[in-house]
This record gives sequence, C-alpha cells and structure tokens, in this order.
Amino acid sequence: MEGKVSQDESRRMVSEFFVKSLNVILGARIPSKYLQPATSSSSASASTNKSFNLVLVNSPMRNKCHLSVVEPIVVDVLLLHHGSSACAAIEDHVFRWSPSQQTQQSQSLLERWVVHCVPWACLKSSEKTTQSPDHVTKNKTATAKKPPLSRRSVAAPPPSAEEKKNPWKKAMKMLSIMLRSLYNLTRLLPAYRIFQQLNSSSSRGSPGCCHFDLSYKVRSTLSVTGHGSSDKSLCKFNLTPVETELGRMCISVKYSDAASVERAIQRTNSIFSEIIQDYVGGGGGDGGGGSSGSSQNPHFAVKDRRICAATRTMSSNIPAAEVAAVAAVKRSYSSPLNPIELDQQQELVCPFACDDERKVSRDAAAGALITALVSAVPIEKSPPRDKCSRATGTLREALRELRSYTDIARKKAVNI
Amino acid sequence: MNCEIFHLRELDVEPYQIREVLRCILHTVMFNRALGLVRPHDVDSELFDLTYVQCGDLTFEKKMEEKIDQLIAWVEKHPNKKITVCLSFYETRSKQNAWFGHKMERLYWEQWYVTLNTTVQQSHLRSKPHHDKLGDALDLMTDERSKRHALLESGLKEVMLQILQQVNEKKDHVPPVTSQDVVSFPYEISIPSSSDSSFGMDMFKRMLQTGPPTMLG
Repeated sequence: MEGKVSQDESRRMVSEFFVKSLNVILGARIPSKYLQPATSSSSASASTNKSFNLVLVNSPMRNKCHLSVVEPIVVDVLLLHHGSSACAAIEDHVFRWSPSQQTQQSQSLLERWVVHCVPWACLKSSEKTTQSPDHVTKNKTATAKKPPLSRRSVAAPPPSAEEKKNPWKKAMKMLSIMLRSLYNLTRLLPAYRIFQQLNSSSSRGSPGCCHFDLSYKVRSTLSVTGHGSSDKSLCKFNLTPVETELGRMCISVKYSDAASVERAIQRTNSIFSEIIQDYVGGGGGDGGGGSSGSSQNPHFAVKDRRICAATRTMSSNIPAAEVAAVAAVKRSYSSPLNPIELDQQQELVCPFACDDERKVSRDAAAGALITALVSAVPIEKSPPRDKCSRATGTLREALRELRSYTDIARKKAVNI
Repeated sequence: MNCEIFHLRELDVEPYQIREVLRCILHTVMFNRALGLVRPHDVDSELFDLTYVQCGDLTFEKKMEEKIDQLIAWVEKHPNKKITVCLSFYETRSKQNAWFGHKMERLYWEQWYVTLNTTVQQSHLRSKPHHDKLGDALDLMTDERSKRHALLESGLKEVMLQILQQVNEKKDHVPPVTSQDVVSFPYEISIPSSSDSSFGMDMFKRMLQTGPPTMLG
C-alpha cells in the first residue's frame, strides 16, 4: 500500500515537474506581447506556481495540461526574420503552433530543449541503479568529466525521518535543484537577450521596430524537423539526470552560441541600432533650439549599450560615484553597437535645448555625460605636466558643458 | 559526510570589477542551494552583458555586500594579489567534549572557492614618447581594456555554467531540508583577513576552531 502511494506521489511529482519546467523555459522565451492576460488564479494554478518551492512570475501554462509522464517534451525556440510574426498557441490539451506567415528560410533554430523522464524499462540494465536512498547513485552525463575515485565514493547523508517514510521526498529535493539550474540556464543562454529586446520594444509601445521575432514549437517526439538550420552545429548542455521511481529525469538543451545568434539577427538588416525618430535634440546650426526646430529637424540618437562599455573602460580612474552614474546611464540603453563606430557617429551630440520637459533632465544629462566621458582623458595620478594640462583641460571643458546643460534643464523645470 | 569542494575557474579582474563578478557568482551558487520558497529575482549585471538570478533573501544579500566591501578595502591595501573567496555550507552539531561539556561545531558539507587575480592597469601614456598623438595612446588603451573586459565577460559566463554543471552533478551530499527559510542551510562567506595577507592563515584559524570535517553516522 505504501509503495502504491509512493508511486502515485512520484507520478504526480513528475507530471508537475514537466509543467513547471515548461513554464520556466517558455516564461523566458515568449515575449510578453504573446502572453494572455492573467485570469483569476484558481487554487490549482496557485499551488502549481509554488511547486518545488519555486514561484514563477511568468507561467504561460496556467492550467495543467494532460502531459504524459512517459513521452518527452521537446521545445524548439525559433528566430523569425523580417518581421514575420507567429504565435505558438498552447491549449489545455493540445500543443499547437499557429504560424501566420513564414517559410522555412525565414526561421533559425535557436534552441532545442528536451525534458524527458526515461522509464526504467527503457534504460539499459547496466545503467540501472537501486532506488534505495541509502545507496550512492551514480549519475552519468555526457558532458561531465568523471570525478576522481575518492569523490565518487562520497557517502550521502542518512535520510531524514520524512525521507524514510516518503522516499519520493529525496527525489523532490533533487528535482528542486534541477529546476533552479534550469531557471538559471534559460537566463544565461544567448536567446535570452533576444527575449529581453523584444519585451523592451513592446513595453515601449513600439513592437514593430524589431525586424525579428521569437517563436517556438512544443512537441512530444524527438524526431528532428528542419528549421533552416541543423541542430548538429549547436552547442550542448546537459543537466545531470535525477532518478525517480518512474525513471530518470533528464533535461538537455542544444543552443546556438552568441556569435551564431548575432549573425542570424544581422541578417534581418541589423536590429542592433534603433532609431528613435522622436528623439528631440539639437546642436550647432541644426536648428535644434526650439520646438519647431526639433520637430522639423530631429536628431537621431542611437541607443547603445556598448557606448557605456566604452565609457566604463575609460572611467576606471574616475571615482566610484561617476562609475555608478555611467552604470545608471547604461541601464537606460539597450542595444549593443560596435564601439569603434562610436567615433564615427556624428549624430551623437548633446542636445542643448529640448522642448520636451520629460526629456530635458534625463536625456540631455545622459547625452552630455556620455560625450563628456568619451572625449575625456582618464586622469592619471601624476601625469607629465603638458599632458596633465591637456587632459584636465579637456575634462574641465566637458564638465563645464555638462553643468551648463543641467543649469538649462533646471531653469526650464522651474519655469514650468 | 565528506565535504564537497569546488574550485571555480580563475578570473582576471580589475578592482572596480570585483563587486559585480562576486555578485554574479555568489548569487548563482546560493540560488541553486536555496531550497526554501524562492521568488527568483532576475538581475541584469551592471558591468557585463549577462543576467544572474537572486534567491530574494535579503539577509544573504546584506551579508554578501558587507563581505565584498571588506574585501575591496583589503584589495586596496594589497593590490595586484590573488584573492580567494569561499562560500561554505554547513550543519551545526552538538559535540560532547570531556572538558567543556557540549560544544556546537560546524560540519561543512560544501565549499565553493572563487579565485580572482586582481590587476591594477597602469596607463600606457607614460610609456609613450612625448610627441606621440594622445589620441593614438587612448585608442590603444581603450582597445586593450575592451578586449580584457570581453574576455572577463566570457570567462564569467563559463564560470556560471560551470556552477550549474556542478550543483547538479553533486547533489547526494545535500542534507535534508528542515528549515522553512528561503536559504535552507546555514552558510559562511570567507574572505582574506584584514590582519593577514594570506587567505590560508584564515582557513587554518577556522580549522582550529571547528576541527576537520568528520564522518557522520
């Protein structure tokens, strides 16, 4: 009787694990624009959200699906080019992918996740181990090195009274660790950057500005279907399997490395630079002084995360407060750009007047700070006199300009 | 129960990068060992193009930041040195002592060693002759720094993947969860001591206080 209860609990635990792992993967890959608004949460979905002691914010699978504990779950994450949109629909009982308009050539396979509880009957007899919690389990993974003999004989701690009564509790602990690693892994892989960019653009109310999109396909077979790129060229990462009463729970991922992802994105006519057409700025004789000037002759600014990286490297001699200021500026920017192009960007000028009060204090100061840091020379402890005067002269000039912008901003704010 | 010891790959860092590197690594380890009810908090690194995950335990975050502050102060006094930070998990057991009665001792079951080679980069301007263009020297410095930064970022990602590999490879030694706290197991963060210039002395002192790891049962 106890064995039957334990088996039922194991089955329920494995089923919940499938749902949870799917939520972890899709929650970090489905852009928010495709997520349905949260409906009133039932007690069932609330308890699923807290299963394995891991509370998830994004749970695309709000209701439990009838998932087979024997069949694997295969999730393909795809990069769609040229603005073709697709939305993968997950219904309660059926996994269905509904592309709107795409061809094989417009997709790139970014990742392939496989979550599978391999039944004991399918495993080779040589890999089977006993299920007693007192025995040391020998977990093998293709990518892990064999630990030295002294490590392999490390004894597990004796099971607690709870674990002795319910053997599946130990498997629950192992699966909890595995789920946390999966959560971490989804944030570390290159595709997460694309997910963040898509979310960022949709939250700004400009979802159409990206010339790419993310889509996915969920299925229960391991057979490979072409998506414009073979999965043989993908990198691989396996989490060490966890043994349960039903079988061995395995999670693996094949993913495109960062360089491949960049190449795939650049094929969509560069999404790294985003032109802010309503950016208000001015400089010199471009007529950026007044509202009419700014609307007729807008300056284009490039949001560039690596601008801040370039300024960071030059600001290492600047006190911590300034470094924090650079980091704050960095957070307001999103897309990377080759720092070499920075010098060639003539449009990256500080606006000295702005008719949009909301942007006066923020963008003007940010632009001024970036220009100041880029053009300034790192201050040496005891530089030669002539270089010192030139270096500090340049920095003084830049700081003077920055002060004048903030003064203008302050005056405008007072006059409002 | 033997103590599982993990030595993470060494990283070359500049002093201003120490805080962020340690945040990424220590938070990653703790998130994977915090088996209480966790509300994960995704954090985009301030210095690197990556995201790490916090377990949401404010006490751990506070303790970690304090230790990092102490470490940075130590690094300022001992520049260009190799530093090792250790995150340890332990159990407390009551030990019967013939002379002093009951004594609480710590049994370490896992230790993570983070080794950083700190380098203070000198400006190259001084090595350049007078008449060289300042701009060329600046470009050279910026390029070299950018390369080192990119190398560190790549190394940091590898370290984080290494952590994910090892937390899963070795799970059998993790004790049963008995606490309801977010961070289920007591932990300790060790840094080079301010009075000593070597990390080994600090470890030796701790061993004298707690004794070596012992076998259970």
